[in-house]
Amino acid sequence: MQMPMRQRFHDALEALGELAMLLAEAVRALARGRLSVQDLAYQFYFLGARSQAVVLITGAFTGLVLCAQTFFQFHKVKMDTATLAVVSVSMSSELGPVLTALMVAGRVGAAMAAELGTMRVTEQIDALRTLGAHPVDYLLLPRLAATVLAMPLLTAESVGIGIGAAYALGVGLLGIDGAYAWANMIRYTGLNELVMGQIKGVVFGLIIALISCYKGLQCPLGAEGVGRATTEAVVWSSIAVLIGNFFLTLLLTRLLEGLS
Amino acid sequence: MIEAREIVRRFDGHAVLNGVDFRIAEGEAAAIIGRSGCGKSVLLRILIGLLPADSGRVVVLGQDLGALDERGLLEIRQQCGMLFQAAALFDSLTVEENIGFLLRRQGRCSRAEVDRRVAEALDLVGLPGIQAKKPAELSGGMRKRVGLARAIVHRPRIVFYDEPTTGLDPVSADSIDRLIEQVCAKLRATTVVVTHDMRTVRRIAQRVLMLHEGRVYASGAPREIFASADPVVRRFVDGVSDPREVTL
Ligand SMILES: Nc1ncnc2c1ncn2[C@@H]1O[C@H](COP(=O)(O)OP(=O)(O)O)[C@@H](O)[C@H]1O
Ligand SMILES: [Mg+2]
Repeated sequence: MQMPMRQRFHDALEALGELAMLLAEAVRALARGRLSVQDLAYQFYFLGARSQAVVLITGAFTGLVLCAQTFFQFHKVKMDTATLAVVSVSMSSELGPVLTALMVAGRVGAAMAAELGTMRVTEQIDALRTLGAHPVDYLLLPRLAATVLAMPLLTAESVGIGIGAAYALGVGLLGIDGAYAWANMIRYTGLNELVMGQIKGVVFGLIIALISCYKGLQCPLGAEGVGRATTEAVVWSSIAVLIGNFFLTLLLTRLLEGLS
Repeated sequence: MIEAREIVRRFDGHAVLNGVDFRIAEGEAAAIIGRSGCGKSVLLRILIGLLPADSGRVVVLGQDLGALDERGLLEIRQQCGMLFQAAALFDSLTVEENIGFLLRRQGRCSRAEVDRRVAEALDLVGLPGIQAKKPAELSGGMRKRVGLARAIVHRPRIVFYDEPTTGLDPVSADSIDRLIEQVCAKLRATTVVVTHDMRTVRRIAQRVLMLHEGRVYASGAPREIFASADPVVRRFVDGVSDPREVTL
């Protein structure tokens, strides 16, 4: 059953509008002080605990493969000591934030969509609304805030581990001169790259939590609804992260260059 | 107390409710009956503001629900209680946290007071001492009772019940009916029960509204409904299907 193109376009626009309204409502709720610190701490803890393994493994192996690949090329032109600089620059501003976001979307976004979707299908969200709790205050806001706060940290963690792993591989196994490689890395990795990585972390956190919670809250009723909401949450947030990354790179590069 | 004027609600172009009109007075116990899928749950959700009507007017506790946003509706709903068809207990919270949810959020009662009222509500529904259990550990009948405790612990002025006895064995169903009766008497709350269980109607209702083809088809005291000569009402009350509907 292929939907006509116009209908799809219309649905996509509508979803975008609803996402914007959800975000506006969340911002209003935050401004009114509806964020429970306890709920936030709980979500933050779960998010961090759940993503540790995937973030560390992704960071480490991305750093490793990047180091190996770069070294093999650079070695031919005797630029071994520039290897770590390449790893560090691409990890900090691009690979670190994007891969972390993709992993978090799969791990945490899916869990959020499934949890909220189940709550919707079993009328728990309606029950919440009859018990004086706004779903945006009680469900969305803590998750959104926790993800936005945690993502830069997870990004930094993954970048750090990636660089560490690359250093260990390069210096320990491939025979790069550690002191030169380290100095080059510090020299070529500007503050801009680090800042860009952190800003991307914040934005990706927002994208993942917003889309996943939206998909959960709008979950179609019925047994297959939750499964569909979960899959769509992961697919949509991953795509949004990748597209967002491109525009953020363009925008932030200009902005940060202008500032420095 | 509750006033519905010409409520229309469509899903996918099909009008599930098509001009529903009634009033329920303060302290009255009304039963809304009708066949499965006729829009009883939809009507209940409109009355408590969970779902907007496409047109028409709903006035609850003197407030026009159509004029309120979600935050305004939250205030009104706190004076109401609702027992959902499948209880809708929060899976991640204990029985105690479920029942005390609204009281804690309102923050008007002390901790000890909340504990006391939760224990009292659990006593009332005949499940003392299960505060620490999670909903997953409870049977269907127990969940409904906990749901009932959660719906009444804040002493609401209106209590809505969506098919309270559906899916229960006759003995559990009877005990739920008895509980609803007790709650009516004790809280003196206005009661709206959606059901297709004639025993519930007999036991609780002072007035019956029968929903059929998107409208209030018949209304009156239970005695009148049970004695009705109208074929549609007759068939529903007696539980007999229309021979024309049965096609193999
Ligand atoms: N959210 C919804 N989306 C689409 N259709 C719905 C929705 N809720 C209810 N309906 C339709 O409205 C009709 C009445 O449903 P309901 O009120 O649940 O019946 P019942 O009288 O058994 O409680 C059904 O045909 C159902 O398919
Ligand atoms: Mg129903």
